Amino acid sequence: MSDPLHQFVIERIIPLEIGGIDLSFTNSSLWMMIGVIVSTGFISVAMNRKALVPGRMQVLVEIFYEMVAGLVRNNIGSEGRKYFPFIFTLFIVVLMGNLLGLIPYSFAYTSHIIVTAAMSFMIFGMIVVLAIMRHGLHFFSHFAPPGVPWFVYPLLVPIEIVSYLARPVTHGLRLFANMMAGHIMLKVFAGFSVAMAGAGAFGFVAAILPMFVNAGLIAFELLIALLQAYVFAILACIYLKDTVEMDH
Amino acid sequence: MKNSLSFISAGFFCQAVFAVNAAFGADPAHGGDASSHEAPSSGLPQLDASTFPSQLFWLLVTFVILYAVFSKKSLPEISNVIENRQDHIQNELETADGLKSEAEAAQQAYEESLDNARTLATKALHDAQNKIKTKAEKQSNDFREKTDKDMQALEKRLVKAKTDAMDDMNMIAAEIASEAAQKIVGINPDIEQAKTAVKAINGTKAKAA
Repeated sequence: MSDPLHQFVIERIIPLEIGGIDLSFTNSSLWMMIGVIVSTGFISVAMNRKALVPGRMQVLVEIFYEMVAGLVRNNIGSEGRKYFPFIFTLFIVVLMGNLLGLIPYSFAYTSHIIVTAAMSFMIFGMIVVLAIMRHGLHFFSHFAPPGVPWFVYPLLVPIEIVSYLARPVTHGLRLFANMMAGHIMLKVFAGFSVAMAGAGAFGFVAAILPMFVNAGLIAFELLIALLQAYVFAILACIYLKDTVEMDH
Repeated sequence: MKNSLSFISAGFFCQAVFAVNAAFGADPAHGGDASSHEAPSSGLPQLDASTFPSQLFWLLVTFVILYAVFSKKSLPEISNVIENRQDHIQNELETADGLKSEAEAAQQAYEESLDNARTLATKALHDAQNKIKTKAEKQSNDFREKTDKDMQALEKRLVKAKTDAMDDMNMIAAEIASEAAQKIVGINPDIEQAKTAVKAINGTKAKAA
């Protein structure tokens, strides 16, 4: 059976080194660029007619638009309007990584922790900077919630800080783990099928079973791909709410 | 109290961030060393730190391109289309509302004129009926009066005829009686006396009857 982790290996396509840092154009970069082209191409083709009564593609684009707009509106409020393009971009980047990754022989860049962590830490850094700019010292009262007896604070403040710092870690790790697990599972079942098919006539017939399982898994992974992109965007919205108003 | 708490937690936060930063800052170096010593096939390919710079760089490129395209072109376009549609629907709804109120006004006017016509017709009918009734009453009254007069005149004539006839009868009876008395007895009775006798007899008869 082939190595189920082989699909995650980064391969250089165009070697590139700037200032001693390896910035090669890799299979990961290739699929990021394909994602850029597919998403912008799809949207511009779908919105080409600017129809009053939309066609199928335009409806799909409008559904995504309304969904992200609803996320921003419900979770951040009317002040979240300025973050809308950012959240939309985030959603599309993750969605493209998840969906394009399901094409056989493609590469899912969202199954790399450095990519997901980079996005989650970028959001985290942005939130901390913007929140401190907006609320000043009051931002840190987030770690000292009011309404508890004073002797609880020595315990509570470190817990709050750790849970706050864990946000970007879990945010990035959730997407990474979901995508990696899904892709490994698909590969393992596909590997079963191939291995059984090579083991005589009975094995050839029995190989159909894992193939059907894989078909179901692909449908499931499609759902996961959409869901995780949605979850990533909604969590970004919830965290970004701190830059607009504090809970206390 | 609140401010000092915020201040203290800010201090804690900064310490924690520095600690995390130091830990992560140390890590890539270790990771890089490890991967350079180990064979690339072992372990998760995701943890191969030598690929991190390229991944980050191209992710940044992707993100910046998409952000630029979406925020400058795609999203305004989509929101324009959606707003246009909503405006259009709003306009249509308003037009429909106007037409509806117009139709309602027209119906009201129609109903009013119908009501007017109905009252007019009722009035005309009523008038005509009244006129006919009064005319008929007058005619029948006239007729009754005339017939009453005729009847009275007739009755008078009848009574007169009756009394005349009675007188004649009495006269005849008296003459017959006097003639009979002349022929049978041979006396010539006074005619006036005979008349009085007949009257008396008639009166007793009438009483007996």
